[in-house]
Amino acid sequence: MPPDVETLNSQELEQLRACHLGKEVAVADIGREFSQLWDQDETATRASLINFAIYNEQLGALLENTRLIQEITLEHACRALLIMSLPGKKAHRVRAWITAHCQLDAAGKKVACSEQVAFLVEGTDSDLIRNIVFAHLDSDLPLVLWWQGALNARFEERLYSSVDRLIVDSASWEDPQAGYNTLVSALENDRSRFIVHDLAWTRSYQFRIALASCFDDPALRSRLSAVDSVAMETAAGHETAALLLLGWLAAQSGWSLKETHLVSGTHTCTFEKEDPGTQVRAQITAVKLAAPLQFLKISGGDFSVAIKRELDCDFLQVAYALQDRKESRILPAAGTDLVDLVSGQLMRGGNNQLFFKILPSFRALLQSSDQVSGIGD
Amino acid sequence: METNPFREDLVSRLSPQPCTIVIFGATGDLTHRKLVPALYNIAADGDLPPGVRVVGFARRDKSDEVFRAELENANRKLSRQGHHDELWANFSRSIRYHRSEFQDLEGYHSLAKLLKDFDAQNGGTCNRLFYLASAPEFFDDILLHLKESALNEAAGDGWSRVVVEKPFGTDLPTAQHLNSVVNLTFEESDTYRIDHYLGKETAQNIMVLRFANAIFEPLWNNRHIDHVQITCAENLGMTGGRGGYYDKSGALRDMVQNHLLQLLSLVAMEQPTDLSADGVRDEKVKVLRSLRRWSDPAEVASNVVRAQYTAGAVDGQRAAAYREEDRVNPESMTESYVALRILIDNWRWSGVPFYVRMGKQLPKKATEISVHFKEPPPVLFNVMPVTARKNVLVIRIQPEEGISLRMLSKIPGPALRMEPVKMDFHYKTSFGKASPEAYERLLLDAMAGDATLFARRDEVETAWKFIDDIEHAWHQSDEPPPMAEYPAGSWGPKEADDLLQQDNRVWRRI
Repeated sequence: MPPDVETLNSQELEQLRACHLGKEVAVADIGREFSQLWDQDETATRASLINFAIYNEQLGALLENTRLIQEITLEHACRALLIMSLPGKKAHRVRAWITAHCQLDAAGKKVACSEQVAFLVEGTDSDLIRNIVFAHLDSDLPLVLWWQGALNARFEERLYSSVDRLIVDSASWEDPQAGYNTLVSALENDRSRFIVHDLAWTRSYQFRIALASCFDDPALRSRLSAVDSVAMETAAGHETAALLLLGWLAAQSGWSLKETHLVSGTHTCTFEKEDPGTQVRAQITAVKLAAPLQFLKISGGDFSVAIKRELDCDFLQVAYALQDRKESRILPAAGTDLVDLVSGQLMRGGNNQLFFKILPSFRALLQSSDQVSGIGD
Repeated sequence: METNPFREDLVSRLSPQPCTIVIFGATGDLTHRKLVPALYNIAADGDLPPGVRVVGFARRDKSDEVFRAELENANRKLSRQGHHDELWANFSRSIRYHRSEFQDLEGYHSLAKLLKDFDAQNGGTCNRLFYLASAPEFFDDILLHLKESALNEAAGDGWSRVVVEKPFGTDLPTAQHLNSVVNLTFEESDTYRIDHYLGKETAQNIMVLRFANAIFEPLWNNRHIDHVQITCAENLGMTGGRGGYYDKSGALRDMVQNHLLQLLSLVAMEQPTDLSADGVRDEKVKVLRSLRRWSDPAEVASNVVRAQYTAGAVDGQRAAAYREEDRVNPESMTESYVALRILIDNWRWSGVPFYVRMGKQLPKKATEISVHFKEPPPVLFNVMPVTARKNVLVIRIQPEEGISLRMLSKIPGPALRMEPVKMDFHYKTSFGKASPEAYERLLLDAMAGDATLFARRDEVETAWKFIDDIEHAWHQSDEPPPMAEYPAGSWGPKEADDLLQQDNRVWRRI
């Protein structure tokens, strides 16, 4: 893990960059410098399945993202383009570093290497950022863009219309509703063709798998219409993951949102079921020191299903009760760090139709929780 | 029953259903080395449905605890994803041992009672998957007793299925007998004949390569393809006491009848109307029905080469001759190597030979399919001498799973010279994550009711018809084709090279 770069002076920062980012090269010479790098190396394969661009506007992002890419390329060979933009700087300047991340075989020999170009862009210039991305893509390979932070003015049509997959993390947005408004506008643009992956949604993946596996039991599945209560616990700051999970439950079960309250960090929502007059009451509680999604319980009539993940635990504890019958088991819970989330998402790929399907119910929850937040707090 | 709405978009496959898996022959190698590690890894991936229980059915006397401890030991060594104590503890709670002789009907009645208890605990779910992992001579007894104890009958909304391990007979009559006993007990739609080659990622990728890419299928016929080679090479002999089984079987029956003819079917089949089990298997069986059969020993002799290895060296070690191996008859007439020139009499493949070879004690372990395209017309660049002019598409099944394409390229420089170059795709470097074991995929499919990757009765029997003609010529004719020889560690007998030489072709260098 690189040290906190904000505490370093400029000389120390330069040393750190030189150590982690590889060789500094002129932007115009990147292709030639890579050729020379490979000429000096006995590596068997330069591998690439995707172009993977990561955009960030935080100081120190290049070092941290280099660490992430080093791990991600163990499973996803790519041409990595790391862009750190510092729009606050007045001068327009671009610096570039090249390096490679190699997989090693059992004997320690490099077997496949992924190229990385890191760019430091100073000054506000969307054209420059777009050009940097476009000029350094591996031809014919899909472009995955991981936009770290808020979707601001630099996230513009001519850039995102060339993107095949967009990764964002709404948990990192100060204003998730505004972020989603920008995102949906981009998705609705005629020139867009990207598939979006919100890491907040990815965080709910294992919970969704676990819940789905419980309802594979026909006896439990027949009780689905009897659900009348949902309880969730989420880590403070990860409320969007819980809202996405609740939006999914609602969309898949045919519930429509009636009202919502937010009191002392606890969302309380009431849904109306397809069967008129019947309701589901849902509660999301934010707690400190918890896994992003910590607990989900669904119950109604003679059954309940509970899924729990302890902080830093590799497993989900799944338990369900149906009349006198009780089942419990543990299921794997994918890691919650960014490498695990992004690698898992890239591995699954897909067209994310389900995400689009649940967006209306999620956005309704997001909007109502935003509207009531002033009242509740 | 309504579909599970929470499954939508989570996995692009049928969902495995809760069931009890009963493994006959549970103390054997297959259970310890393959089946239980596969089930554990399915659980580790979170794909094992809740309520799945495993019952080991075998003759030896032992407790549940001892059985679990033995399986745990094996899993520690063999699990693809390693062994996690907490996960194993959770998974192994579902494992029980049931001691009984295979011929003892009472053992099946007590099994039925045990399964009923499970059903009661499961709230009425009564799906059952019976896995025949015992020696094949017990299959009849097991199947008939399953019927007599009514364990073959699905109750309520449940299902009852059987998975049959190879060999599916030793010839057509024994295969027909086995199939009739199986079908007397289970519907064909509930019968899953397992051929683990079909569970391998690269075997599954053959259909994707052919039917998901626009560039190959237009060339996939006798106008553009010169010939196809299918090779299964092993660098092992009869180690670990395998000689006893192998000497009764031989390369043709052990590997060609099932694995290699399945691969050939996938390469040669027409596009199925859909990806359903029967959609795919209908097309595969058409290929097997179209294989040209040989009616007399002379025809067999001119199209099939059989051989045994003599003493030689493999992997830097001296290797004994086949007839000197442990548990092998010193006068054995069982082939450790076979090479065939197979013709498929249909419009697509008329005139395109499929050369198939399988051998023990060859220089390396490799299974692959190579599609050799026709030479371009002898004009322009193609009048110049080059070492290898034909384009070759290679599908590597194992090891180093992947696909490569050989093509000609100009050597840089002022002179016009060409050499073949290779475009290479490796699963390992493109997809860093290790592929699931074939048994994982196949067990999931059996639990989900997807029989696409399992052999159907007519496939098995049609394959045996083709194989039996050869076996009869070898073992029952007055003038049997000769048994050739090759030194252990070589690429097979000279006669196999001659088989291709007659057609002005050579085996691909592997």
